Amino acid sequence: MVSPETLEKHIERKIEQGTPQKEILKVLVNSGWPEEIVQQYIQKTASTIEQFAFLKMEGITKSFNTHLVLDRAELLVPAGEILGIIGESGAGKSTLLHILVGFIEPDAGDVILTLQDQNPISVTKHPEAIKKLAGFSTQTQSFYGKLTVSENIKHFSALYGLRGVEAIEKINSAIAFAGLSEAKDIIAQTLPRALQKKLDIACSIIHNPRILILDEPTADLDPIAVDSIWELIEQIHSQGTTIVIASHVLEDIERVCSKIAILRDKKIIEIGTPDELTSIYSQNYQVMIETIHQNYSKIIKAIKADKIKIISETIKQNKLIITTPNPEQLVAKLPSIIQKLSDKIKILHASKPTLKDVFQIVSQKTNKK
Amino acid sequence: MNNQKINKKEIITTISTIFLIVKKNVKILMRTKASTIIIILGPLLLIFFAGIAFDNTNTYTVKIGIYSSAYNSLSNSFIEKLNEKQFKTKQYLTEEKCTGAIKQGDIHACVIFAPDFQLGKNASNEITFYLDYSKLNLVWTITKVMSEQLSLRSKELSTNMTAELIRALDLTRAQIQKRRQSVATLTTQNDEASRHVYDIQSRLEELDLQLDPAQIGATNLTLQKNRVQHWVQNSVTLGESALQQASQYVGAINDLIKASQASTDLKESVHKYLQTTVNDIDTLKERMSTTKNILGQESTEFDSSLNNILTNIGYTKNKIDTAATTRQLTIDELNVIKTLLDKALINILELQKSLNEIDKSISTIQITDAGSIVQPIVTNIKPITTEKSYLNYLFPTLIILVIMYTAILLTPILVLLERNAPTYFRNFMTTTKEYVFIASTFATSGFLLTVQLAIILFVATILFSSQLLSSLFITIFVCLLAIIFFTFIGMLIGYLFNTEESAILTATFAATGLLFFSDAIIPIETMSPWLGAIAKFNPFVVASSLLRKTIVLNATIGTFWQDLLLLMFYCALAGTIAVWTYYELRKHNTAKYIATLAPTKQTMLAKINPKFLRLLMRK
Repeated sequence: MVSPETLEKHIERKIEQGTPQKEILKVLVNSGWPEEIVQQYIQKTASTIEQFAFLKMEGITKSFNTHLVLDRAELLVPAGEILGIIGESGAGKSTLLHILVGFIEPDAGDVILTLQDQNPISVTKHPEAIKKLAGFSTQTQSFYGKLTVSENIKHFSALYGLRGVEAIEKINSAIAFAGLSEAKDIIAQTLPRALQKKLDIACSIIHNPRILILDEPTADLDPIAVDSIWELIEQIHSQGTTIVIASHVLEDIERVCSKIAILRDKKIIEIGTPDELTSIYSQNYQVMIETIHQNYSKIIKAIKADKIKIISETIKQNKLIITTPNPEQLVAKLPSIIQKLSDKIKILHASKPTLKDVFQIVSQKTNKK
Repeated sequence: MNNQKINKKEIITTISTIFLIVKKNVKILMRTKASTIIIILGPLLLIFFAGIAFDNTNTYTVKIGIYSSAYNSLSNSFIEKLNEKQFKTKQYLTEEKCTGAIKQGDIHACVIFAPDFQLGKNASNEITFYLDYSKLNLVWTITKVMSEQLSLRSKELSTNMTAELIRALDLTRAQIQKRRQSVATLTTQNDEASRHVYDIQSRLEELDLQLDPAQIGATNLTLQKNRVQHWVQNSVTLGESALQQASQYVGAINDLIKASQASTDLKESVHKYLQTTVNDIDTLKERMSTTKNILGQESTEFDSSLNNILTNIGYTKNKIDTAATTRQLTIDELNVIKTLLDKALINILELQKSLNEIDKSISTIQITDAGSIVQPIVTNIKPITTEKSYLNYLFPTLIILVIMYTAILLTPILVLLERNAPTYFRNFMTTTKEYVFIASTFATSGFLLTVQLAIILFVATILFSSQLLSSLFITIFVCLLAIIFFTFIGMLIGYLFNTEESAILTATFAATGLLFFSDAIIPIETMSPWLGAIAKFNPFVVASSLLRKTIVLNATIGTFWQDLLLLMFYCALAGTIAVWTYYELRKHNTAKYIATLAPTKQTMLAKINPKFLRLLMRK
């Protein structure tokens, strides 16, 4: 039996995943929770989520010719969050994002835009409804390479209908905000990759969108550039913009995103904060060891002989990685075990499972299914 | 009121957005050096080269090969004529070498003179030209100039022959005048002969050659003879009967006497008398028999004679009948002769009339100079413009050609640059409506073409001065229509294809097709009738023909408003199809765009459509 807090989180996650409320109720009641309490929690959580939900994908199915890319995918984009969508290459992240803004028409399902004091609008039927509210930065730089930085921003501001003083102010503000002031008169295609990405994002936020969608924002960038881009994204978020990021660089997503959705098997299979996801999918730690003689098979035998629980063990880059629910016990015993085997420890490191590990676990689970 | 304000604001915003997009497109193009050169210098270079190429009517370096199995003064005179012009002639030993030299490019044409080349004889007066028709424009020039030169010589020869003809005519006329009296005499003589024939005919017709045997009475004579013979026969029979009866009576009398009691003497005497009577009767009987015999003989002779007479009468009748027939035949012959004479007279009169007419006709020939007859009208072909070059005639076609190629090649590039650019999606994400982008592409292309047109027209105004200025407004209007039409065609090609390569290839095919299917290379009149009829509706032909009418012919709008309407209709049609195609293919293009978004999706999309993978791999 979990605590009421955990129950609330669980219900919230399930609702965000699009699980029908009846199904959530049934599962929890079956596991011993009183129906009244569960129903109360569900209603409370649902109303809170709906209130903050900005975009909602309902049963989106999309296929290209005969290839099914998304199958009844459900997703809630909560207002004010940084939502990361992770998935393998080709899982359908970009397709999902493009459906989200109405660029691609789904075969089935709908995307509902909910604004305060307004009736929900179908983005699929009225893609123009979201255009003023959304900015989109694609993986490839979507600006004119032959134009200068300021010319590009000016051009897109014009396409958003900005004119006169308002336009000038917003252009200057976007240039300054993206840190492109010094490069404003430089031809875009001659800029370094990081600045090009910043320009791309600047073009996406010129009309002050309420939601910014970023598809693989750090792809092909060096680590320093990656950091600067994340910094920029966090700045944009700090101004109240909801951000949706699709990426397969899980470390970055884990670091920046407040919520993460896992796209797998053509649908969103999990959604939650990074901690939630890691705690749900793994209570285990990883202990990494490197010894001089690297006699890892004997070490494993000795650990198992000491009856320390091991979930899995792998050797990567001459290092033994052990997954265990008892890291303290293992770390305490390891020096004596290695010493007995006439070996010496070079590296010993214990860590929590990462999002990558969670993703791997999820992948393994779905593969088994 | 409020709505009107909003609409007005929207229109202004839309126009200003189109202007900004065009400005952006132009800016991007201008920042590409190659594009700038093509857009600005392209038309200038084209006009420059066209000017150099067409600014004369001479053929400086045309080489002509000559072959004849036997040269004579006549063929040499033709060759001299060719040499008098710009042609360089070269004689070859065989016909094959001469034609082979064309194939090798040594000469442009080969002229073959027939063996024993001479005038007036079939097959001996032939000059055969061999030309390389792959050099279509040169063929026309060579043929024209060579024909001119050869026709000069032909004209000389024609003049000589005509002079001879005139001399022959003069002689004929003199002879006619001389023989006209003889014809008149012939008429009189014919008349007389006809009259004589008539006289003979009349006389013959008067002759009575009728003979009726009945009138001669030969038939009655036979009847009368039969009657006489009958009566004589009856008389003889009666005589004989009477004699027989008399004998009987005598015998009876004798018996009676014998039986009577008459005296013997009496009896004797009576007997004696009776005997004598009997003897007489017997004598009479003998005589009667003799007479009968004689009568029989005489009758036979009479019959024979009578038959002879009748036969002779028959012969005579036959002869007379033959004579009558002969007379009739003669009359008929005479009739024929008379008819022939009449006809001869008519012919003579006709001949006389013809001779008079010939004489009259010959005498009406006022031009007796052979040169004037050979070339009665001296043609003096002058261009309607003052320039002595082909350029002014080609200029309208040249303008439309530049517009067509530039529009049809540039517009798909602009469309595809925009559609395949990473900004395609960003543009979609903006609040600007799709039709604004369509209009912007059209406007950009139109603007660039207008700039090119302005350059061409500026240069042309210097070249053609007043001629072009006088019809500048309508010229610009036609050019703008052509720009609109070909830009729409270019947009359509851009929407239909996904890669610049395929679009440019298609655009080139389309433009070249329109060019070949027009009068720019070969006249429409030389095409097959149905093809020619279709080619007349070729937009390139319609536009260039309109421009020709305005620039070269300086025609008024009233003479070509139908063509103008047709071109406007083409513009509307092309625009509708282009926009319809854009919206129809939008979904397809969106999928294509998605395929290009993330290279990581190559494998996935390859499963969808192998074509996608190929496209992505190429990118």
